Amino acid sequence: MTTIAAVRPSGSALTPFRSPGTVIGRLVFRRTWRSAAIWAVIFGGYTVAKALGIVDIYPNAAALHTAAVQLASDPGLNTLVGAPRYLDSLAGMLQWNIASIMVTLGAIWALLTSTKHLRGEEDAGRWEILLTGQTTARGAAVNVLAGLFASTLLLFAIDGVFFVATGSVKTVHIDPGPAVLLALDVALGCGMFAAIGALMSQLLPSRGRAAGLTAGVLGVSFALRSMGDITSASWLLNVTPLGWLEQFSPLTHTSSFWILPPLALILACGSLSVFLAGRRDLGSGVITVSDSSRPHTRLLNSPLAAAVRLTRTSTVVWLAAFTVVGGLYASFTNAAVSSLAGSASAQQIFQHLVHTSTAVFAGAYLGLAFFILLTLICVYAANAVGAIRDEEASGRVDNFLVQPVSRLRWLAGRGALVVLVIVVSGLLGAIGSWVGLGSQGNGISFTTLLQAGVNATPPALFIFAVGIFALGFWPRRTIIAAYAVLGWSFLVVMLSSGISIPTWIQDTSLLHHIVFAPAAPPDWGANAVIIGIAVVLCAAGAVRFNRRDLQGE
Amino acid sequence: MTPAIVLHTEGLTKHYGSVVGLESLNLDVHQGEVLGYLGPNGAGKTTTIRTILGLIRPTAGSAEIFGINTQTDTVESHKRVAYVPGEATFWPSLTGMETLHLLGRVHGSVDVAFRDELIKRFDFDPSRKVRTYSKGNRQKINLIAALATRADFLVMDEPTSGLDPIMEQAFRHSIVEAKGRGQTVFLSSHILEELEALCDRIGILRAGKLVELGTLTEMRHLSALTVEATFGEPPPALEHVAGVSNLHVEGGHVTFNVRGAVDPVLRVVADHHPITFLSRQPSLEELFLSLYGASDGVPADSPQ
Repeated sequence: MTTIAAVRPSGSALTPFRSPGTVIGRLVFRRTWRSAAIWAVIFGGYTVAKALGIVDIYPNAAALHTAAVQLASDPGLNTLVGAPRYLDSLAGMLQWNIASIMVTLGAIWALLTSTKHLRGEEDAGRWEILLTGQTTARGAAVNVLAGLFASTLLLFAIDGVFFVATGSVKTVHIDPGPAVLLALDVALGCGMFAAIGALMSQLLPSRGRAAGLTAGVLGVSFALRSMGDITSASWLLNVTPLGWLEQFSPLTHTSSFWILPPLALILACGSLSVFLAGRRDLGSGVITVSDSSRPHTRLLNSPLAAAVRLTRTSTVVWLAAFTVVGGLYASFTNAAVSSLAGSASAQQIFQHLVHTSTAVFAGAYLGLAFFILLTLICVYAANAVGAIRDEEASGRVDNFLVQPVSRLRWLAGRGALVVLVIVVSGLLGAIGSWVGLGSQGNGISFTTLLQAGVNATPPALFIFAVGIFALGFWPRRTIIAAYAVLGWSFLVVMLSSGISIPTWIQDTSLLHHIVFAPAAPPDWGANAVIIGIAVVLCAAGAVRFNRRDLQGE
Repeated sequence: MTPAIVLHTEGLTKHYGSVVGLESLNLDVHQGEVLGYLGPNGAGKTTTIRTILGLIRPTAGSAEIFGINTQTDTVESHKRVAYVPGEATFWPSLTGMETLHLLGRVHGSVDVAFRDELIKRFDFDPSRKVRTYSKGNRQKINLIAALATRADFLVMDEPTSGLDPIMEQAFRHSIVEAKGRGQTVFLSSHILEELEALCDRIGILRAGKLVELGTLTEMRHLSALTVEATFGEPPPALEHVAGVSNLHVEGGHVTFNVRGAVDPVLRVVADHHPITFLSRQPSLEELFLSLYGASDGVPADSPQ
C-alpha cells in the first residue's frame, strides 16, 4: 500500500486551532449554560423563599411536629411532592417542599436540552456539517454529553452556593454538606434525564419522538414514585429514578447509597448512546419506523385543518393530561380534608396560596389542584404560541402565504385552535375532577367544578396573547416572552406563599389576580379584564404580524 | 398588439436598516414571456421576489400582479400565481403526496392528471415521508406543486437548486411547455446556462439595482465582441486601434475585445494576413462577468 503524504498548497497560511475535537462540546455548553444558570437561579430563589417561609410558619419544633403528623396522611400532597419523611425537622420540611419539584423541573429542562442537541440538530441538517469536521459520530456524541455535563455542573455549582447560603441563615441553619447534597440531588435528576434523552435520541429517528418518549419515561417515573408514596407498594420507589432521589434524602437522614443507581443510569445511558451513535446512519434511528405510507388526505384541505392534523397527537396528550391531573387530585380530596382540617399551619399555607381559610377545606384543596391545572394549561399556551412562531421561523408558513391565504386568516385559524384547546382543557379538568371526586360526598357540585375549570383558562389565554403580541413585534422573542410572563407570575405566587412580598410586586403576577376556585367563587370581573387585555394584545400582535416582514430563525 | 403586463413594479425599494436590499425597481413582465433574473449572492433577487409576493414589506414603491397591488390585496394577487422557493421547507411527518395534496387544495385548483405526469417526469416517489427526502427531492415537491396548478404566473427562485442534470432537463422542458401554454415565468437564477436557454429577456441585478434589462441579443450589442487571431508573422500593434481592449499577445496568437465599430480592427488585421480569425459574441457568463469585475462585487452582507 502506498501512503500519500499530505501536500500543503504553496503560499497557503493555515491557522491551526486548538483542540478541534472538542469544538462541539464547547458549542453545546455555549448554547446551554444560560438556561442552566436561569433554572439554577430559579431553584435557588425558590429554596430561599421556601426556607424563610417555613421558618415563619413553623417557628418551633412543636409546630413542625404537629404539621408532620397532619401532612403525613395527605395522599394528594404526597402524590405531588413525595412522601412526607422527617417533617419534624426544618431540613426535612424544606426537603419535602422543594426537592421533588426542583428535580422534576430540572429533568424536564434536561430532557428537552439533551434531545435538542443530540437529535434536533440532526433533524435540522446541521449535524452533518459538524460531522464532516475532525470528529466521528461517537466523538460528537461524547462532545454533546460533555457540554451538557458542563452545563449541569454549572447548575449544581450555582444551586450549591444558593443552598449553602440559605443554610447559613441563622434561623434556617442547615449545614453546608447537606446543602451541597441537595444541589447534587437536583443535578442528578438533570443528569439522569439528559442521559435518557441522549439514549432516546439514538433509538428514535426524530427529536419529537425522542423527547416524547423521554417525557413518557419521566411521567411513568413520577407515577411510580407517587404510587410508592401513597400506597403500601413502597418498593416501587426502588425501581424509579425519581424514587431513588427521594430516598437519597439529601438534607436529613441521608442515604448515600441512592446516589449509586442514578450514577449507574447516567453512565449506562450515556455509554449506550455513544455506542449507538456510531452504529446507525445519519438521519435514522436504531429503531426504524416506516418512512412511507399510502396518502391519507383527511384534514389536509386548508391551513387550519392541516394545523389540526399536524398537532392532533400532542393536543390529545395535553388534553388527556389535564383530565388525569384533575381526576387524580380530586380523588384524594376527602383524604386531604381529613388530614388537614383543624391545622393552624395548614390554614396559614392555604391562606397565603389560595387566599382562603380552611373553613371550606375541600374547596381550598381543590383550589390548589386547579392552580396546578391552570399552570399546566399556561405551559400548553406558551408551547402553542411557540409552535406558531416555529411555522414562520422554519419557513413552512410561506407555503400557505404565497397562496390565496391571508396572514390574518392563517394566524386567526391557528389562534382559534389554541383558544379552543385551552377552553376544552379547563372543561376537561373540571370533568376529570368531578369523576375523581366521585361519591366522596363533600358537597362540591359539578357546576362549581365547571366554574373552576373555566376560571383556570383566562391566565392561559393571557399567556397566549402575550406570545401573539411578541410574535407581532419581536417575533424572535415570542416563546421567551410567553414563558417570562408565566415564569415570573408563578415565581411571585410561590414566593408570596412563603415570604412577605410588597403588594406592587405581587400585582405584577398574572396569577395573583386569579381566584383559585373552587376555594372561593371565581372573580368573573377580574377574569373579564384579563381576557379583555388578552384580546387587545392579540389584536395588536395580529395587526403588526400582518404588516411586518416574515422573519426566519 | 402589446402583450398584457403580468408583473409591474414601480420604484420598488426595500432597505434593511442602512443596508439596501432593493433599490427603485421599475420592471414590467409581459404575458407569455420568461424573464430571467440574474445576480450574484446578496444582489437582491430573493428580496425582489419576497417583496413582490407580499412576504416582506417594501420600504417604498409598489408591485402589481395582473394589475392587483400585492401589498394591499395580497390574497387576490396570489390567485393566479404559483411560487417555487429556492429552499423547500415542509412538514416532516407528511408524505410527498399528502404535501402535494395540501398545497394544491390551499392554492384552489390543480390539474391532477398533469400532477401525476409531473411526478413521473421528475421521477419522484410521493409515498415517502418528507423528512426522508433529499434536498433535490424536496425541491421536486415545490416544482410539481407549482407547475400542477397551471398558474398564469410562475415565480421561481433558483428552482433547480439541488436537482441533478437529468432533472434540470426535465425542468427546462416544463418551462418551455409552460411558455407554450401562454404562462408567464419569472425565473431567478445564477445558473447562466439555464437562463440563456430559457429566457426571452434577462434582468441583471447589482447591489439591489437593476443594471441591465433586455434580450440577450440587445445585451450583446452593448458589450464587446471577443476576437482571436493567429498570424504567421509578428502580430500587428492593436493596442491603439479604436475599440480594442483586453489585448493578450502570445507569439503569433492574439485575443482581444472589440467594442463599437469593427472596421478599424478588420483593416489592421487584414493587412497582416491572419492564418485564423475567429470572432464571437459574448456569452451570458462573459456579459455577467464584465458587469461584475473581479473587484466590483456587491456588499457581502446584503440580505437577499
